[in-house]
Amino acid sequence: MDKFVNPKSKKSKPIAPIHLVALIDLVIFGLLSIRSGIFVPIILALGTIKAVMTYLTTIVLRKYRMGDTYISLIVAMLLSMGLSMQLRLSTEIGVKQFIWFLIGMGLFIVTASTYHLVYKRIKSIWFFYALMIILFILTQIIGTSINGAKNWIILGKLSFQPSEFIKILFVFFMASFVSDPEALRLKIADKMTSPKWTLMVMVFIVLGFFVLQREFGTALLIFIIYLSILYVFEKAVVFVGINAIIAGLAAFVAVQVMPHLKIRMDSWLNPFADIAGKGYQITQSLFAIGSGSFFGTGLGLGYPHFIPNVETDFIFSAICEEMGIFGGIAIIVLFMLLVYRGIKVCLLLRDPFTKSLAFGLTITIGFQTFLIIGGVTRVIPLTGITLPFVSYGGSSLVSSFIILGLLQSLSGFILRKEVFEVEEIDN
Amino acid sequence: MKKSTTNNRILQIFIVINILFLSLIIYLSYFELYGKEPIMANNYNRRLKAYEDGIVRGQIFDRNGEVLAETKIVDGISNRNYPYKRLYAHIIGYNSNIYGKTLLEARYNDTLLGKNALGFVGNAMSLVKGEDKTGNNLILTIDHSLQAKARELMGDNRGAIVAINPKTGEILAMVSTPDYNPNESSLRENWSDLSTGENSPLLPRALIGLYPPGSTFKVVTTVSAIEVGLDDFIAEDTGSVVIDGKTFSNAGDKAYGELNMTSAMAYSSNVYFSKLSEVLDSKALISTAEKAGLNKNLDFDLPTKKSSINSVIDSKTEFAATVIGQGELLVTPLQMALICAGIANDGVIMKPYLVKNVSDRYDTILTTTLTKESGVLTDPETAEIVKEMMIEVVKNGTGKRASISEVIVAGKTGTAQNEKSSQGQGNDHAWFIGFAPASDPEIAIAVIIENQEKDGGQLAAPIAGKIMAEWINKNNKK
Repeated sequence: MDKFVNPKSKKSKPIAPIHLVALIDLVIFGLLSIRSGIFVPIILALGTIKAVMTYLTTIVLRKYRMGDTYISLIVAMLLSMGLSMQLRLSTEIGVKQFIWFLIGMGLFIVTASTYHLVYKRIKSIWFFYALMIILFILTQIIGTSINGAKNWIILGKLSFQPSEFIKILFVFFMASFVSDPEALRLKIADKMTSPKWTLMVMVFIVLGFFVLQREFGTALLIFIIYLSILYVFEKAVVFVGINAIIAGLAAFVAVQVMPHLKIRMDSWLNPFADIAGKGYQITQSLFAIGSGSFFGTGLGLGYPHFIPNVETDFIFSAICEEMGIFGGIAIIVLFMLLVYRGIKVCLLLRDPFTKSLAFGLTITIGFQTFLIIGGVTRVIPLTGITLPFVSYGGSSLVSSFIILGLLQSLSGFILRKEVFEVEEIDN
Repeated sequence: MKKSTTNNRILQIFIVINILFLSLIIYLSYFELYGKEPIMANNYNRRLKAYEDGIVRGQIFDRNGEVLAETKIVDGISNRNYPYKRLYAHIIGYNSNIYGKTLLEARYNDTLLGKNALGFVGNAMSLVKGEDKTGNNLILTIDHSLQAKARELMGDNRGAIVAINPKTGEILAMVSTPDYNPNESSLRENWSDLSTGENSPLLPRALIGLYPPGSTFKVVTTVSAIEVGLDDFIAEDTGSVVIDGKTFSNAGDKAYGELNMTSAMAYSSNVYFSKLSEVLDSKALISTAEKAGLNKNLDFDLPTKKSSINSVIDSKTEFAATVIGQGELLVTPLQMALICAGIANDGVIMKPYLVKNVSDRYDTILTTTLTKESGVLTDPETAEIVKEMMIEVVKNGTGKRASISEVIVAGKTGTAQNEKSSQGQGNDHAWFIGFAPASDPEIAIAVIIENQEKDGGQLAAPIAGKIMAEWINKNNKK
């Protein structure tokens, strides 16, 4: 049994890393607050709050034995880099992001401490599917176009991107399928359908909605999650292959007929051919990464503003410019660690629903990170999704914190429950 | 059993994710080391411009501290100013927001912007002290008064002058004409004339102008002949000679009678040297020419064209033409100056250079260019014999007008046929190469003036003499 679920273990004292995170916070935010030559107390105050929050979270998690204390520490470090970069780009945006960070932390604690009370009741596959479809339709009806794609819902002062939450619902949907595939054995025209094929049709409908809203990145991400979960939990290698071929053909046709997708492919294959137009974003990103070299220009000494959308999609390029690719590699390694902790939880869980839920949430973070970092470095085509915990955006940050809260809950109360239940049966 | 397979598959996906992350890390490292190199200089990389705007570009000085290029910041807009306007156009080049950078401004861009390690250290200090970021300065080997004198003597002619310290390889003066005013406002005003002008004013002739060397090449021929033991060769000069059906004659069809090598050099007898070609092995001459730097890329602070000789010469007439400096031969003025400097420096050609030092904003010297050998033209004994012949050229021969009172000057004149003149459409080029004082050379020089009625001895020699005199007088006053 892993030490973080053993209440008697006294070895799990994450003392050194947490001091390190707090120290980094105070140094980075302290330096940022005097960057312009005039002391800006608010930035230092935010840094202090951030450090205190990190301590508080760890203390609460330990005190109530809420599971893995490293998960939130890894994220705290990601947030140190993300928040400081946002504050450096613009104090206004940085402060907004900080407020979202506080809201996210609140949701994280709420999710982590309550989800275990309800998880057994909420696992109806049709419930999650209906929620997704409702969100899609709502977006189509009351949604607003930003940058040419209708994928925002704006309610008064509050705007959010439904796809960030549909992503989480999709993982629940898949986990429900794993725990009870028979729910999808439908009777159509006096014949019983195969659950897998029913699932496939339902998933392709979801993909269709994403493509309709030009959320190609999220579509690709949930498709990868879908295939991975089928592969791991259904052992359906041939079926995964069929899905991949169909999706591949569909993507090929889509690139031919949808100019928006074709532009993305062209700007990936040859960004320098139309550097003033289609290739502008990606080449500016490459210039930024290149000018940062290994150690970076130093925070505040580069020109990240030359990249369009730097605070959202291209935040990784800005980090590479000013903190060097060593800063960028630090981000990648932190995500590797985060995925590692998530996979560890997932390996320990036994119930198919919780196990596939933990797996789905973990790989969501993993693949999303790869898709966006690979996109801005031109390893793969740019898909325009956010870097979890680092990119600017309320929806992205909040949904990432909800994923984190769910993982925390799975690593703590739920894992312990499962272990004890099995022990009771064993006795 | 079933459960362990699920966990195995979970681990497989975990490994896939880790491989993807590792590939990103490897790609990023590759990109920084190799991948970014061809793209970073792209015009759309606004960082280069932004970086330049935030930095005071380094100054350029002559060897005595005279300011040749400086950057002034007026109302936040930096402006490159060349106080001597056209005088250094073909050495320093220009640094323009519109037309880019050329010559030293381009080659030493990183140094002038402080973008190398030395600059970073200096600018880290300036950040602490709250000063403007400043690039590093260049101190050239050029002597401003000599450069000005050379330019003045060149007048309105087209051509080039290269003066060099034969013992060190320092370029003392380098003039190419026609030239232009490299200041931004002037460039903008005259750009269409400059870029399309018939006389190519943007072309640094001293470095990339390829000319037939004419009789100045006889210096290389004599080196080759002496090395193979032909220094006692004697020929009867009757004014012309027929070699394999082609007639070679002296300038003005003069006949000099019986000549040895020294007198043949002094009179620049084409007949003598054409006859010499019949006993000289073409491979020996080509080998000497290549030792003199032909057919080789020159390692220099600025881009140069490669001087060339045919690497195989089979035809007798072609070889006779090559021996007297015509034929398939092309040289840059810089290359001729180097050959001349090689004779002056006991057969050793020093690597030419323009940038003597790099200094920082407090005028502290950061780096000093070390002198080094570029190649060995010949042995000291042969060089000494050729030097004596060249002294004779100035004392009693075609180069009399290069002489300086109380100083022994060595030299060789040349009058080179070129594409236009051989078709009767224009005049020959006037050449002179030389060095002084012959006993302990301080300056070696090559002068070429394009398409002149007068020959090298009449026109190029006096210019070379005056420049050498100016330099020697200046050194003696010290």
